[in-house]
Amino acid sequence: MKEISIKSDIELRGDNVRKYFAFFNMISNVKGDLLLNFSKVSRKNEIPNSYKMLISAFIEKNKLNLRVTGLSVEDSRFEAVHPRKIDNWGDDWNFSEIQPHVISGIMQGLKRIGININNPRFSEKYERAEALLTEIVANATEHGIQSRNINYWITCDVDTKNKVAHFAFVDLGIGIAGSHREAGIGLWGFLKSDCRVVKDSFEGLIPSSTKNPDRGKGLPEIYRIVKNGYVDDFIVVSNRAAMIYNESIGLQTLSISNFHGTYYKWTVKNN
Amino acid sequence: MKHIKISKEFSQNLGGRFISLGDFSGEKFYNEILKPKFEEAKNEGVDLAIDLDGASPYGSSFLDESFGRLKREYGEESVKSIIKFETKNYPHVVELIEKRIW
Repeated sequence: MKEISIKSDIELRGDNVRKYFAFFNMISNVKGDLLLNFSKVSRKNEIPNSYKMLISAFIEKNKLNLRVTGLSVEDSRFEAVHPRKIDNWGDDWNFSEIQPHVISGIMQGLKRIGININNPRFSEKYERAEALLTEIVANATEHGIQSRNINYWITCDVDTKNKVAHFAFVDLGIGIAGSHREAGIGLWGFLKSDCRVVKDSFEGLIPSSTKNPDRGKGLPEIYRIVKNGYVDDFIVVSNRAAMIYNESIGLQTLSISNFHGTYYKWTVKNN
Repeated sequence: MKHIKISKEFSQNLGGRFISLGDFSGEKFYNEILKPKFEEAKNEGVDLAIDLDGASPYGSSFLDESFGRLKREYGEESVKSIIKFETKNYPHVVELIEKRIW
């Protein structure tokens, strides 16, 4: 059995992306039995759903048999992450299709922080935040997770005290740069870094890997929603690239150890 | 004038591009509602009003496979002269369609 002691942060922020994904890179290489030791983690009762989601995705992909120790809550509560039960989403919280009723259900988290689509003050923000999630899911499914028979996962952590909702998405597919390279669009794809491919994809500077000129609008639309301030603290991690956008620092990219998939995190604030 | 209220005639929760990728896709909206209503309006020489309110979200895949496909099939001039959008809440969606889908 492989034992991993959790020492790094369990909340992803713009300043700990490399460290956070170095841990998940380690998990991605484990097969069979895995013991996660949380004894050195503070705030054991506040492990974010986004963290549990990533572990669950690797449990499914690598067929891991997970055991947990060092949590102040009963271990079984954490192990209930798998099979696929979290926040009463039952069996419905990982998918390979675009299911509008599920996306709409996840967006209900915004109601808990006072953002309601029927309130004219928030209808545009709500619709754009929902569009962002749909763009992310659509991009993942249209670029092959359905044909490759893998799932995507979505979570929402709601902080009612600070009126903030934290969303996260992951698919352990081919990744953004991987998708372009697989499509074989020119020599440039092999010459550019993953950071450059990801940045150019979101800025609409390179065509869709489907090679259809009418496609390729999804990632630029995501970036437009982010830049227009409908959501905050946006992070995308895919292959060897991370892209971070927030109001204070603007756009930042950094290279990371290889993450076999695509992960998004963003927040929606009642402001 | 002919009308489509998307939230009543199609769905309040909109999906992605293709029928094969999930429910309430742009392809399904195009095949079952938008294209037949557009052809009726075109043949009768009247406008087609599209009420966007009450449905969400309007992702680019849904919009491209419905309104974008309509433009590709019938031509920009014909589509722009017949389609009239109605919305109180989503002027940004009209802008998205007119500037980035068409």
